[in-house]
Amino acid sequence: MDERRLHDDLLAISEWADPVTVPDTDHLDDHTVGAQDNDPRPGDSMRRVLLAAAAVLLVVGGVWVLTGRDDPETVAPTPTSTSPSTSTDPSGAPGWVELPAAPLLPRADAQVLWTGREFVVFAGTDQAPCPVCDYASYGNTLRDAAAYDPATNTWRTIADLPDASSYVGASAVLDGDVYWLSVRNPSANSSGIDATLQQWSSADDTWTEIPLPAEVPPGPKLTAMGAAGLVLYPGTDEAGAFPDQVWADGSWTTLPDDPLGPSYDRQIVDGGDAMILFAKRLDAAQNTAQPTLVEGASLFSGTWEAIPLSDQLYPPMTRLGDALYAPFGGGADGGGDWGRTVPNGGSYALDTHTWSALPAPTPDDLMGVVSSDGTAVFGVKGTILDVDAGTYSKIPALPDRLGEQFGQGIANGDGIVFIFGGGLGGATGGLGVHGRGFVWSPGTPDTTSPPDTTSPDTTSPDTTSLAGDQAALDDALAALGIDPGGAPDGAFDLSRGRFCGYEELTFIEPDQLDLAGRECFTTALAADSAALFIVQLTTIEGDPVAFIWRTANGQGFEYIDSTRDNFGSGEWEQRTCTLIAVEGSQPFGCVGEGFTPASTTTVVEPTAGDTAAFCDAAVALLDAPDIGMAPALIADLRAVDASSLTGGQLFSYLTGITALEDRVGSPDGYDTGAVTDTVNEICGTNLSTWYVVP
Amino acid sequence: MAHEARLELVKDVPCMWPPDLVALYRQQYAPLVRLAYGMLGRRTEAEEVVQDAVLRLRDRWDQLANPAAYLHRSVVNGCISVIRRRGVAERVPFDPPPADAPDRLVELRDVLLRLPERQCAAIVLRHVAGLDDVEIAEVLGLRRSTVRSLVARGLAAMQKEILHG
Repeated sequence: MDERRLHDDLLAISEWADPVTVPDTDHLDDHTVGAQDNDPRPGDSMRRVLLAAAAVLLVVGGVWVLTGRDDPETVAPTPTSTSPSTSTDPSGAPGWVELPAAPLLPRADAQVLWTGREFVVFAGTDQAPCPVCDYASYGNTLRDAAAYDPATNTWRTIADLPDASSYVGASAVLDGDVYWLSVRNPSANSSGIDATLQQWSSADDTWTEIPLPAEVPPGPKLTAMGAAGLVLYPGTDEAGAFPDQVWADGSWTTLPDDPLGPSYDRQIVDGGDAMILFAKRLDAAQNTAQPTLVEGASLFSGTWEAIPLSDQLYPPMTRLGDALYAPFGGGADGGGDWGRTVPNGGSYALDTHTWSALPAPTPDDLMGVVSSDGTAVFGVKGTILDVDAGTYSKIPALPDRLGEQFGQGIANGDGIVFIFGGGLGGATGGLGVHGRGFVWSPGTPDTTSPPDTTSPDTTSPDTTSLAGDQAALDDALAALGIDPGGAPDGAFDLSRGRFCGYEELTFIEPDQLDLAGRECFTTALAADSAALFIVQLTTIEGDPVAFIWRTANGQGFEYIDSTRDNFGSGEWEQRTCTLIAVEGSQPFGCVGEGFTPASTTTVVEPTAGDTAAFCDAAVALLDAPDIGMAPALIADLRAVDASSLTGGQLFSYLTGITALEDRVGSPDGYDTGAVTDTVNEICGTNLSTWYVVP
Repeated sequence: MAHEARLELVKDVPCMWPPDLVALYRQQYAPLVRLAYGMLGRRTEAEEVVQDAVLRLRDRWDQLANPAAYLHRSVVNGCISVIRRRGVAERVPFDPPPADAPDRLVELRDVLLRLPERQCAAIVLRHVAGLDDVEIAEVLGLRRSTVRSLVARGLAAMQKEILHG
C-alpha cells in the first residue's frame, strides 16, 4: 500500500458520491438542522472547578498518574522489576520473590506444572480475566512456552505448543513429562468433546500428540498415577456417563465402574498404592434438605472399595504425606435448612481411612496447606494451614496489587509455590495481563530453601551497572539511526536512570514488542524512578519516527524525533506529560500539559464512590449546550469509586479521563466525546458530544 | 431544555444568504459531500451533514474570521456525531459501490469506515480533502503530533486489516 496509490484510491472512493448537485439555498432553508449541534464554537462557559488533583502517584490499572514535581532530577534510581524483590508477611516469613524476566508473553490462565526439576509454563491467553464482565470473550491462545529452574534461578525457552492447542483444558505431569489435554470445543455430544492430548517430553523438548480414546468426557480432568499411568476422567456425570480411562504403555484402558454412581465434583487423587476417587452423588443432591457430602472409593488391584462418608462439601484434591486435603475454608448451611454449617474443607488419612476436620476456627479464606512434606497452595491471597504446627498464617501480598486479580497460573513443587502471569488492574481488573513470575517458600522447617537469587542470572538485565545502560542506549541509538545531536536537552539524559530498551515497530505485532523493556519502564513510572524507553515506528511512507519516553521523579517526558519523517514536521518535538497511559500493545501515550482549574469556577462534588450521584451530576453537566463545564466531568469521574465498575466500564472510565485531559490540556480546543461515551457506558444514558474551540 | 431553546432562537433569525457565503457554499458543497461521504459511506447522510454545516455557517457568518475552516470543522464534527449516534442495532449497510468499482476499492472503503472516527477523519481529511497535518490539526482540534499519530495508526490498521483480513 504505497502512499500515492492510497491517495488515489481514497479520492476515487470519495467520488462514488458523485454526481453531487448543489441544492439551491432556498432548499437549504427548508432543511432542518439536525438534533446534534456540531457547531465547533464554544458556548458561554459555565466553568466549574475541579476537585483538587491528587498529589500522590496513583496506579490505576494501566495508567500512571504522575505528580507534577518541580525538580525532576533529585531521585535516586531504584531497581526495576527484573531484579528480585520481596514482600514480607507479618509473621516475618519470606514473601514472594520476583523471578528474572521470563522469555514469555504476558498471559492469564497459564498452565503451570512442576516436573520434579522445573516449573513449566505454557498455554494461557492474552485476554484479561474478567469475572464480573457482562459478556464472555476469549483471547488468543498463546503458544510460547518456557521452563523455570529454581535451582539456578534461570528460565529456558521450550518448544512452542502445537497449533491445535486451545488454552482451556487439563494438564498433569507423569514421569517428568507434561500432558496437556487441550479442549477445542467443550460442548459434548454422544462421543464426548473435541480435544487433543499432547505430551511434552522433558528429555528432548518436543510435543507429541497422544491419540485420545473414542470418548473424551466433558469437563475432563487428568491425574497422574505414577506407574499406573495417566487417568482421564469426567469432572461430572451431569452430561451423561463417560468412563474413567487410563493411558499406560501406549494404550487406553477403561477402569471398572465406580460404586458411587452418577456424581459430580469428581476428583481422583493419587493415594500411593491405591487410586482414590472423591465425588458427590447426583441423586443425593436432589434432597436439598440435607447437605450433599463428599463420598469416596479407592481402587486397588482392579477392585473398588468404598471409604467412609465425609462431613465436608469439597473433595480432597492434593496429597501431603499420608493425608489428602481439601484445603479450603468456609462452609454452607443450606440456607438454614441443614441446621448447621457444613465445612467446605477437611482431610482424609490414607493410613487410618478416616476423615478429619481442619483445625478450628478455620479461616474462610483458607487457600492451601503446607507441611514438612511439601506445599499445596492454590491461591495468591488468603490463608494457609501449617498442618505440622496446626497453625494458620497469611499468604504474603504480591506487589503492585497483583494478588487482587485472577488468572495466575500456580503450581507447587520443591517446597515452593510458583506463580506466573495473571490480570492487571487491582480488584477491578480488566486492564490486561502481565508476564511476571514469583516464587514463595512458606518457610516451613525442612522444606526447602528459596531460590538462589544470587546465582548467575542469564536472562535478566544488569540492574546495577548504569554505565552498562549508557552503553546500551548508545547502541540502541546507533541501531535505530537516531542522531542525538539535535535532540532537545535531556532527551537522552540517563544520568540517574535505567535504559529499559527499545522497540522497532513496523506494525504493532506482539513479537515486535520489547515486553521486558515496557515492564521496566512502567515499573520505573510506578516507583518514581528514572528510566528511558524508545519506540520507533515506521510511517506508512517508510520513514522512521522515534518516540523517546523518559520518566524522572514522577514526571514524564515525550520526545519525538521527526527529523527523518519526510511527511512530518522534520523536527524534534518535546512534551511534558501529566499522565503516561499504557495502552496494551500500543506505544505509550503522553497526556497533555494538564490544566489548572480556574479560581472562579463553581464546585461540583458528587459523593465519592456513589455512581448514582455521579450519573446525576454527569447528566446535569452534559445534557446542556455549554461545553465549558467539560473539565468538571474529569473531577466527577475521579470521584467515582472505580471498584464499583465492571472491567469494561473501568476501561471506558480511564479512557474518558485520559482522553478528555488530553483535550483540555490542548490549546486547540476539545470535545466531550470520550467522557460522554464513558458516561453513557456507566450510566446507560444517551448523551451527545459537545465540542469547543478556543 | 436549554439546547432546544437556543435552536429556537436561531430559527427566529431572518434567513439571509450573503453573496460571499453563497459563493463559498457553491464552491465547497461538492468537495465537502465527498469528504463526508468518505467518513460516512452514505451519501444521504453526507449531504445532511454538509447542509447542517452550511446553515450553521450562515448563522455565524458575520462573526467568523475563517468561514471555510469553520465549515470544514463543522462537517467533520457532524460526521463524527453521526458515527457516534450509530448504534450497533441500527447499523445499516453503507451505500453500494458503483457496479464497476474494483473489489480492492470496495474493501478499502469498508476497512476505512471501520476505523475509529478520529483516525478515519484524519485520513479522509489528508487524502480526500487534501489538508496537511497543520490544517487537519486545526479542523480536528488536535495537536499536529496527534494527527500524525492518528494517520499512522489508522493506515497501519487498514493495511493490517487488508493484509490479514
